[in-house]
Formats: sequence, structure tokens, C-alpha cells
Amino acid sequence: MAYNVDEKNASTSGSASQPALPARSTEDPMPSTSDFVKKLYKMLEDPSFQSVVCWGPLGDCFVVKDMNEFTKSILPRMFKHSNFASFVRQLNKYDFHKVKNTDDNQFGEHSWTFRHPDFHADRRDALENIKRKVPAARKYTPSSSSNAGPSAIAPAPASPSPTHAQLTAEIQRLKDEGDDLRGRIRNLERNYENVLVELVGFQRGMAQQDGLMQSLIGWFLEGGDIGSGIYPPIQPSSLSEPGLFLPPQAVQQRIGQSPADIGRATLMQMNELSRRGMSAGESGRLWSGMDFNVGGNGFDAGASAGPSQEGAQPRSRAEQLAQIRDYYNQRQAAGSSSTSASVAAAASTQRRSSDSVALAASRAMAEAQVQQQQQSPASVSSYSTDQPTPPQWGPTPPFVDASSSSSFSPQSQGGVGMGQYPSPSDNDLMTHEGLQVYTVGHLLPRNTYVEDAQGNWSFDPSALLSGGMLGGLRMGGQDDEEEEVVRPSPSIPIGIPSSSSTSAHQSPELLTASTPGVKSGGTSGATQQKLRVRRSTFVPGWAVPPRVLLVDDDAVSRKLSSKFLKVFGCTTDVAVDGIGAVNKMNLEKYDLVLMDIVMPKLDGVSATSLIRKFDQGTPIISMTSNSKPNEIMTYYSSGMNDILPKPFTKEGLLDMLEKHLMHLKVIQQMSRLSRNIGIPPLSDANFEQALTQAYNAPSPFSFQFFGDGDNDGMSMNPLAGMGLTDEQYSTILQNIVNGEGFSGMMDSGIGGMEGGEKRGRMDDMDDDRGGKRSRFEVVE
Amino acid sequence: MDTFTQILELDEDEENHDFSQPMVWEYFEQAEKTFGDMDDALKQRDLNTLSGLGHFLKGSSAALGLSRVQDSCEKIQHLGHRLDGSRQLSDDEALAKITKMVKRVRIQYGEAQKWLKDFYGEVAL
Repeated sequence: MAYNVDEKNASTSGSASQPALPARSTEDPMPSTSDFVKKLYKMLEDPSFQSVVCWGPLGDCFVVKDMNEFTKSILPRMFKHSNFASFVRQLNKYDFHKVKNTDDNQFGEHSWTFRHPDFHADRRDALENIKRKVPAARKYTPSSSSNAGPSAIAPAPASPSPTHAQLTAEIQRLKDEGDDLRGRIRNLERNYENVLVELVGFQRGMAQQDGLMQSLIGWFLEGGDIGSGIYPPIQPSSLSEPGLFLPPQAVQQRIGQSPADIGRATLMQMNELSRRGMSAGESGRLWSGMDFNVGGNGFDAGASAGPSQEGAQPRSRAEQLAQIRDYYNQRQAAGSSSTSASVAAAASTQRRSSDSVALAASRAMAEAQVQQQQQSPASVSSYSTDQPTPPQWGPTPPFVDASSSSSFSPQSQGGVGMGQYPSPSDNDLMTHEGLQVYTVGHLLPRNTYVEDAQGNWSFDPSALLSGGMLGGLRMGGQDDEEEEVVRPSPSIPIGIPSSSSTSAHQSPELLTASTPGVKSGGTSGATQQKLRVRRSTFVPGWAVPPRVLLVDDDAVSRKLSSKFLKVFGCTTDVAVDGIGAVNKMNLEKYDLVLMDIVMPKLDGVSATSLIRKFDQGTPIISMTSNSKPNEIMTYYSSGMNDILPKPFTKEGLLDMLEKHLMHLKVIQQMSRLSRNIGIPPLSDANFEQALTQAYNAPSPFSFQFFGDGDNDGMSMNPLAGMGLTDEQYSTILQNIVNGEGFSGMMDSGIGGMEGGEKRGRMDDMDDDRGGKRSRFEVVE
Repeated sequence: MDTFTQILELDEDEENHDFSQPMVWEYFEQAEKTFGDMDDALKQRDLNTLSGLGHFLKGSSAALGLSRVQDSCEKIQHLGHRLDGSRQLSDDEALAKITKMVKRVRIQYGEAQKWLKDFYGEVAL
């Protein structure tokens, strides 16, 4: 590289030295040879110059051994100047090339070796073939001037005393670099603009979805009284939303590919349906219809209509249990292979999912229902598009909600191509987005209470116990599971936080959104079926409920802290002293530890030191009223991450949680974006463009999940769980972008798979957009 | 008071105080047990234990926002370390002061308890 570039640096200095030639050339035996070449040859023949410049060992090149000496003594004598760079340029003009210094260069690293195919010590006659290059030749060399600078000068820094020319060239090189950098900055700016465009697109998508959700829920509230018979009216309105949902046949196709996915979808609905079935069976009222609608099947074309649920319950539990286990295993298999962004999240997800399976198992679920779902594209599509809803309005208690939805998350990316970048919590996040309700209120059929309490397995065990026991005795008024009862009249102000977007989770009106209705304790025997709106939790939008270990010997503080944590949507485990904390840390994985300092048996500092011996990562925050500087130093040096002075406020605790559990929120934001990327075109040119860019450009949002690109795309292909390869996924995306349906894409996608094209999608993370495009062409 | 207000906000049922009341009652139990422990420790002239007990009661009082009890407990905590402000105390001095202070805490605690019981109306017991 170094020696094919020099030639382009043509200058006039070569010709300037030519007038000196005629005097010598009269007696020259090589008449047709150019003067410069003749002089070169002569110079090399001259024994007095041998110490400075000579032929190479093979006679096919010549070596300037000492550039300084050469510049000082020989150049003025032979070429009438003392500019080595000019000499090099002229050599280049005659198509001499610098030979790169090799490591074993016998003339030292400061020597310069030049070569020309026709320039040989013993082939005088060939010299006449050496001609000055025609200037036009420069045009054929690509990127001439920009590259010339750097490489022409490459050896310069090594030379002991840089000449003027070298400095000039150095400046040139820097300029080139500057240009290069400017180009890159322009590139970045362009990317940034693209990102902005994307964001606008996302916002639009969000708004649209919010509107849809709002109108749907509005409809449910109005139509709730009438019961479950009124599905059809929804369908037109929801499907009329342009392109928001999949063509049924596409869903059908995809569902057909992956039994695991069906299992997932089924299980998802099972939770909803079975509960609905319970409540429907136990009460004559059709409130269940509303639960059902809201919970997850709003777009159902009626395939799995509410009434069928009532018959579902009596089925044998063992049978259903086995079935559910089966699905669960499938999901696990599918889920385990997909890389999750957060190991901790995944771990807790699995724990919870097992619980949710147990929960689901404890409820009756008709096998027929499963079949129905397999055969009914509409219901499946509703599964995937409805996911945002159930956790807010589904008839489940908050933590069961969280677990049931998060248990699907590793595969949830499969849903309708939503979520371009998989995250373990994709599904769960959707939960929080559609309505931005953030698990504030829960509609809860009264009678399912006991089961719900069981579902809270991971919660403060004492609370669970008391909740469960009391739950049997009286339905309302448990000490920390208090609920309010709202009469199910069409005018219930359930407080759908309409389009309130990101700030929704913080807004106080959400907490009060549930109108206090009839007091629960007094009306538990009332004949009318009631819905309870819980307002006990308000989640700051966690991707998955953070698992917090609370270590405190003071029962009052413990109770208060765990209540706060519950309100913030964390699942809490408690230890009453340092030893308990260390043991728990050994057994379980937590996202955060809140550690009191002064405790019996083992104090917080020692406990932290012990924990740090086997767990470096989990944030440990000391809660203490002793916050003198030297004490704080002790805390930090024991391995604690932060200090939360006691008594702390709700805000203080929340800040601390958000600070140290940022990753759980970031994931949410990530998938919030990604979900929108996956939405089919909104018939908007800008949006499509944004999508295209989002896909073609290595979008900033995607980096986090790309890991190493060659692992068969599991880490970035959300459809991998459905058995789709990268190529198919790419094609799907591309087709979405192009506004084509899903039907054609499957064929091509499969074709791509049969072709055995398995390429990591992100082989090249550089900005090679053209390359990526062409790949789609190949696939299609 | 702010702290206590915040606790009350955690009650889902504003009339039952389903959350805060059991917690306050638990505090009463815990505090009374602590007072008993303090008496024992005073008898045994165990300053370190007294300091620890003071810290313990300080924590739970602070959690409920009972700031006067909290302050007195903090003094006991320091006195247990033989410190009065920046003054170093002898054991006897410290014990004498703690004895006084424990009495004071009891009175303050009694006030707080009365107030809280009034607040909750005692009925729910």
C-alpha cells in the first residue's frame, strides 16, 4: 500500500531538475532514456556514493541508506536540489515505487528502497522503458489525493530530521484526517436525525394505541353490564385500525410453526380465562365477561366466548395440570435458549413463571379451549396484541399478574413481530405501556381471593399468611391486602388514565383513580357481584418486579419498609439479622438489598462483607440512622453501594430504588421502543422511513442486545422462539416496512431457510447499509 | 408528623387503617419490651446494651415519626457510649444520666402512645 500511493503525488519539482541534464547526456550511452533515469543509473554506478545510495542486493532496486546524507550531498550534486520529498515524487512520477521496509531490512529502518520493474543494475537497455507517466494516468487511480498524504508520509515520523516537505505532507495528512472526521460527524448527525424521526414515529404509534385502548375500555365499561355476548362489535373497530394487527392467516401460519408459541399463548389466556371462569361459575353475574374482555380477549372474534368458560371449570384438575406443565416445559425450552439481557431478570422470571403455572394449574381450564386457540387465529392475534391489557385490568392480584406476564416474556417477542429487539421483559413491559396504568388498580372478582393470596408467594411471608387466613374468614379487610369495592355500574370511574404517557406512573391521580366505593368489610355478603379496585401498588414501571431483600431487626421499620417496597412494585423478602441476610443471599438472587446496620447476631457491615465474598454485584444499601462520615466510610468499605439514612421517606426510598435498579427500567424503555418498531406500517411515509432506517441502520437502541452477532440471531431475533431464522425475520421486517402483508413473506422466509443461508445479521456493525440491503434482495 | 402522615397514606382503607394500625401496635409491643430490656441492662450496668437498645428504639420511633422519643433514644445511645455531647463520662455518670433519660423516654413514649391510641380510637382493638 505504501508504495503504490506515492506515485500520485505529482509535482513540478521533477521537471525543474531536468534542465540540468543535457550537459551530461551528450556522452550518455543511453540516448532514448530519460535524463532523470540516466542520472539515477549513473548515481548508482558511482562508487563514491556507495555508502549512501546503492543497488539493492538483487540489483532490481536501489536503496537510499542514509536519507540525510543523500539529501545533503548527493541530491545537490546530481539533481540540483536538496529536497528529498521532491526526489521521491519524481521517482514516483517515473513509476518507481517505494518498497516497504521489512523487518529484516539490512540497511536499517531509515533506509528507503525504490523499485521499478525495468530498473535493473544489469539491464541498461531496459531503462528506456522507464517513462514519465502521463498526468492523465492519475484519473485512473481511485481516491488519489486523499490517500496520498498519509501514506506518502508514513515513514516520515521515523526519520530523524523531518524536512519541510515532510512537514507539509504531515499537514496534508492531518487535513485528510480532519476531512475524514468531518465525514464521520456528518454521518453521525444523519443517524441522529434518523433516530429523532424514529422517535416521532414511536410517539405517534403510542398515541394511536392509547387512543385505541381508551376507546376499547370505554366500550367495555359501557357494555360490561350486558355481559359477554357483545364481542363482535369490538372487532370491527379494533381491526379497522389500519394495519395494527396481523392478518389472521399470517398468524395462523406462524402459530402452526411453533407449538411452544401456542403453549405460551394458551397459558397466557388460561390465566385470564380460568379466572373468568371461576368468577363466572360462582356468581350468576356476567361480570366475568368484562374481565374477559379487558383481560385479554377483547379482539376475539368470539371464538372463545365467555359463556363457554362456565362449563370449563369442572374439568379434571390433574388433566389440566399435566397439560399446563407440558406447555410450561415447552416454554422453558424455548426460553432457555434465548439470551436475555438481564440474567437476573431471567432468573426471577423463571421462578415466577413456575409459580404462575402452579397458579394456573390450580384453576380449571378446558382443554377444548386450547384447541380453540390453536384453531382460531383471531384469538391468537388477540393474545399478542392484547398483552398490554391484562396486567392492569385482569382479575389477578398484582404479583400474580406480574409473574404471569413475565413468565411469558422470553418468548413474548414471538407475538406478531412486535418488539424487534427481544428483552426478557418485553411482554411485561407492554403491560405497562398501552394504558400506562402500571398495575395501579386491579379488578378482582371477590371470590378468587384465597387463590390470589397464594399467588403472592414471593411476598412478605407474614403478610401472605395473614392474608390467606383472613381471606378464608372474611373477604375484605385483610391487613395489607385491603381493597375497595366498586359497584359495577356503567358509570364507574375506574380511572383509566387515558393517554397520559410516560409520567403516568408517577401521577397521583392514578392512586386515587379508583373511586372509593362501598366499604368492603360491611358488604362482603352483598348479593351483587363486586369488583375490587386495588390501589395498593403503584409500580414505577419496572420491567419485572425487582426482588428486594430487606434486612432489619426492627419489626416496625421492617413492616414500613416492606410496605413502601410493595407500593413501589417490588417483591420483598425479609431477614431479621445479618446471618439471615447472608443465608438468603446464598440461596436466592435479589436485585437489591436494603441492610440495616445495627442488628443482633451479625451487624449489617459484617454481613455485607460476608456477602461480598460471594456476591459482588447485587447492590447493597445500608439503612441507618448513624450517618457520621467515618461510619459511612466503614459502610462503603464493607462493600455497600449506597446509604439510605433512616428514617427514610417514601421518596428517598423510591429514588434509591430507581437509582440502583435503573437496568430494570432501561430494559423497559428499550422494549418500549422496540415494540413500536415492530408495529406494521401506519400508512405514513415518515413512519415507514423511520422504520426502514431503524432497521437498516444499526440503531442505537439495538446495540444493547446485539452481543455477538453470530449466535444464530437468538439474541436479536424475537421470532426465534417461533422457529424463524434470521433471514425470515429480516424478511418479515422488511416486508412490514414495505407495507406488504405477512403472507408472502413467510414463503420467502422459508425459502431462505431452505437455502441454508445462515448468516449472522450483524456480522458487520459498520455503516454498510448497502450491504445489508443487498442481503434482503438475496433472500427475497 | 410528616412521617406519620406518609404512613397513613399507605393505608388503603382510610377508616380502618389496615396497615398503619397493626404496625403502630407492633411498635408499642416492641417499645415496651425494649423498656424492659433497658431496665434489666440498667440493673446490670451494661452500657453497651443500653446504647444498642437506645438505637433500636430510636430506629422504630423514627420510622413512625415520633421525634421526641427518637431524640431521647439517641441520647441514650450516646450515653451508653459514655458520651454526653462531646464530653466523656464515667460509667457512673453515664448510668445516672441514662436512668434519668429512660424515665423521660417512658413519659414521652406514654404521650405518644396515648396520642396514637386516641388517633386510632382504640376501638379496633
